[in-house]
Amino acid sequence: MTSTIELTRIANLTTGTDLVSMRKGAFLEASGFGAASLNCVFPAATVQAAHLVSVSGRLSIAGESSSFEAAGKILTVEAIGDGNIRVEIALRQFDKDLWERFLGAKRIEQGRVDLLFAKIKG
Amino acid sequence: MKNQENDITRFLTDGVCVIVEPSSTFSSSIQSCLHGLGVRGEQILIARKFEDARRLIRECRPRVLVTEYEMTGGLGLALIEEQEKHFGESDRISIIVTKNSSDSAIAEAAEEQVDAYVLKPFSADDFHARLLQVFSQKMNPSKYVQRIREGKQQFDMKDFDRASEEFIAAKGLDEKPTLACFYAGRSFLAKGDGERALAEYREGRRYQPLHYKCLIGEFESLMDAKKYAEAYDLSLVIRKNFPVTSGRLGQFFIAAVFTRHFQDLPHYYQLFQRLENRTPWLIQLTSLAFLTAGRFAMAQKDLPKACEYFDCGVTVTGRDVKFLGMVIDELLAVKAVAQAADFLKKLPAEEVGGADHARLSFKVDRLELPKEQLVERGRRIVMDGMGTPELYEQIVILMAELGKTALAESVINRAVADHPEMRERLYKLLEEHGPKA
Repeated sequence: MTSTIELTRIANLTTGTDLVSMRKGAFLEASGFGAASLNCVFPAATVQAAHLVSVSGRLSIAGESSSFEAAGKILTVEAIGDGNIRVEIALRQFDKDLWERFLGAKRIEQGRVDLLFAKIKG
Repeated sequence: MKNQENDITRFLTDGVCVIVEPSSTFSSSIQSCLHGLGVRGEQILIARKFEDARRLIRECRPRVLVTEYEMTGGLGLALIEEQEKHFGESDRISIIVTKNSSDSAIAEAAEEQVDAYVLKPFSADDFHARLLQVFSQKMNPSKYVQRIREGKQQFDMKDFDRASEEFIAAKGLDEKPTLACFYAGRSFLAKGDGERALAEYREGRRYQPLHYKCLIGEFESLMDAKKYAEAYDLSLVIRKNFPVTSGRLGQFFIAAVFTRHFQDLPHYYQLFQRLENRTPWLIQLTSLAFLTAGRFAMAQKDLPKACEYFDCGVTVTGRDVKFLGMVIDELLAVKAVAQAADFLKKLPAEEVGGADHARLSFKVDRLELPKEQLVERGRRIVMDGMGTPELYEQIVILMAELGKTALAESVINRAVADHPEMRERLYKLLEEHGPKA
């Protein structure tokens, strides 16, 4: 299985109040990421653009799980129907080494897929 | 960049894109990327379930399909097959987006008409660039690729003569025209010229010895020609260099069994266990391979090895009663009663006490229990309505041998009620095995 990002808590950075209520043990999976950003889907009206947030969760890197904490800012919010919004969070304060390891693992995983795919396609 | 985005709108025209993704988290990301490439909102349709997706593809005929590898109800590859019914390879784009990074899943997708295989979660920039690349390859093929595509169109229209002409012509447009050789081979095979097909695949491998498609073409031609020894040798090359897909594994099992390389079966069994996509055909083929291997080991008087093979077969079938019955029959044929009894214990718990269990127990005990006890056991099975032709015969013989003619006749009456055609045979057995006057 591939390296993944799982968020277990999203809170208002200033007040510490939970923004997305999650049951114990539940998590939100990030659907995408950038050099210092991540994308996920939240219930509508939980956050707005420019909100400062703190996120906690786990990065699974090549099968090894590490806890991940970050402070960031909501960059974009887009309604996607079904009462949900798609959010892009710009990461500001976070473990850059760990994040780089994650990005590197993703590059390796996709690179391996591309190589095998091209080899078989001929 | 703008030009490339124009490529996409030119490719799509008024067509639609279908995203098949159970999770709204991922579908929204894919949707956002397509929007970013200039695809209009009304051109993007989303399905969460396999059956909905299949219906959507039939109704809307998407030129672009982005699908999960596997979802409840079916595989993304089956959806791509559905899309293929409406558009040829050059007129559609099919992309798999999944968390499944297993070699066999990637190989399976690459063997089919999939244009890209993307792992989740993905970087939006990377996904964007990848989509642009796929669109660009579709819209701006080289002369060589263009000629191959024309050949493929003829092939799809079953004009194999024209198809092979196109592929042969394509060979002159590239320094190493391996792919053209592969498709030429496929056309000759479709025309029934196996020898020429084989020659084309081998020519392709002269340019690129480990070209997957040519290797597979050559392997399949050899299998078709029943040249199992050569096919087996080639299977080792494929196995060493490429992941084994479920379809291929079945052929490897056949090649190994026909060339009596039974020692390879445990390795193939491990590959089988790792596969996500085990088709009923593969399960049946694998179990029969182990049954054959077991028979071979028994012929070599190696009962422990035979039982090892049989055991693998039993696991492969998920303790299928019919398969267990076949194994027990094999073992009883060489009077390996203890081993047969061990396999009887492998029947699923819900089968114990049922008709199959009763019949198989009777068979196993037949070689050990005193005849009187067997007769009583058999009579009870018959009275419970669980008799089979084979069982009726065995019970009648036993009763005849014990001189219980009247009882045998009552069993015959019962048997004839279910199987009228057995009357003559059963009376004959009663006469042959009964007390002589």
